Amino acid sequence: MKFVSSSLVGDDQRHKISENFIASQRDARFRPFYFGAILFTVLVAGGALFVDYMIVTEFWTRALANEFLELPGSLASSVAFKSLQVLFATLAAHIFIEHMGVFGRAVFVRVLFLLALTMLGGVGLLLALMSLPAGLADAGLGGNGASLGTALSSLGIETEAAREAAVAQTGLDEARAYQPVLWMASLGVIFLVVTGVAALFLHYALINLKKLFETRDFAERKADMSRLAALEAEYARNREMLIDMERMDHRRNMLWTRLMDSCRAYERGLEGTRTSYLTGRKVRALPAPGRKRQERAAAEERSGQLKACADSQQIARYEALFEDWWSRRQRMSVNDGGPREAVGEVLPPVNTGRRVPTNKAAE
Amino acid sequence: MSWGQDSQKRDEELRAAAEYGRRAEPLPDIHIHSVLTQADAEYGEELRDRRARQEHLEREIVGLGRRLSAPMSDEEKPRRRWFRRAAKTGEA
Repeated sequence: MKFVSSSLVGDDQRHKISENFIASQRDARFRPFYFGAILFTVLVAGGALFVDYMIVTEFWTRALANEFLELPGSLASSVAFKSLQVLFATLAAHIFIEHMGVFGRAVFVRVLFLLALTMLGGVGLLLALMSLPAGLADAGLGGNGASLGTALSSLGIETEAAREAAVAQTGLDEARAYQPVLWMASLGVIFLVVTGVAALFLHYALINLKKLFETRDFAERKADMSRLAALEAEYARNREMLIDMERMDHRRNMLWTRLMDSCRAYERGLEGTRTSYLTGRKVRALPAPGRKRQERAAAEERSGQLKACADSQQIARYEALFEDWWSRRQRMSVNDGGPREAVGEVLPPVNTGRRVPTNKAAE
Repeated sequence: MSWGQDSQKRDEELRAAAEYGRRAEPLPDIHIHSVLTQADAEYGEELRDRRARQEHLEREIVGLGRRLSAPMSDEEKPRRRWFRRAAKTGEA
């Protein structure tokens, strides 16, 4: 017979528990990082929302303002409300991201990056146009050369510069026809980039918040593991105790011990009586006439009682009584339909402490 | 509480035995039978309690072990493609 481990938690499971504990502990160490990440991402998302708000406010202001760029009083407050749509746009983008898979999110981020590049390119182009060299600006786009060419052409003299300026002016006029569309497209790109960034950072903030909450898992896991260890220890102790208690000879021994405890208590009581009897006999120094005989009779009676007690204390008597009681108990158990506590029934049958026969031939 | 630690009943039993001793009377058979019957009943009760506790412990340990060894958070999540629905239909 070979004894198999009595643990209810298998080795693989225990290994997994240990791995999970280490991972949880590692996560818990990142708690300050997650906290900082939440702050940072929320700040960035807030900043992006603010930029979006300003862009949309400007849009609505330009759309609703009069020729002096002034808003009528009733519309001033509505602009603020209309601009708050950026909040909902950001939330919509956030929900969109949340519903995306890994691949979709990767595509989203790349598209956002391309839009950001376009935005930066546009900003760079504007800056370049604003800081053109003087000679290039003289070519006809409203510089000094252009005004000179205009003056000469008004006198009927057509110069090369005036001809180039006329060509450029035609191109500008064509471009101006698309100006609202270009303006809206630029605004749209900027809006999309900023909203996308806000939504992404909101997503990261939520991820970090989730991780921050998950770090609490470590404390609970630690407590659970301590509890598991305590339960397993109690289980093992209880199991050992049950193995003993299931045995009939153990039961007999325990009952015998209990009987002997009672006998010892009896012995202590009897000892007190003996002592008081001997002490009382010494005190009576001056007996009255006739009392001596009475005392002797009482003493004889007393010693008779004590002798009877001493006789009753024979171990053989207790053993006989115990055996009598035990055999009666066994008979009653059989009459009741079998032993009251079936041997071997106590051990939990599932995966615990099984005794499996070993192959003797193999040994 | 292990068997034989029920102090009140046990004290009464010991006090009764001591009382027989103090009165210098032999310990009667009926007392011995009573002690043994009482002890046997307590033993059986203790055995039943321990069995019940053992079953409870077994359930607790198995449950706790299963919970602690369960995969942590996102480990077992299926990989999504473009959208969640796409991933589900792809798996099906």
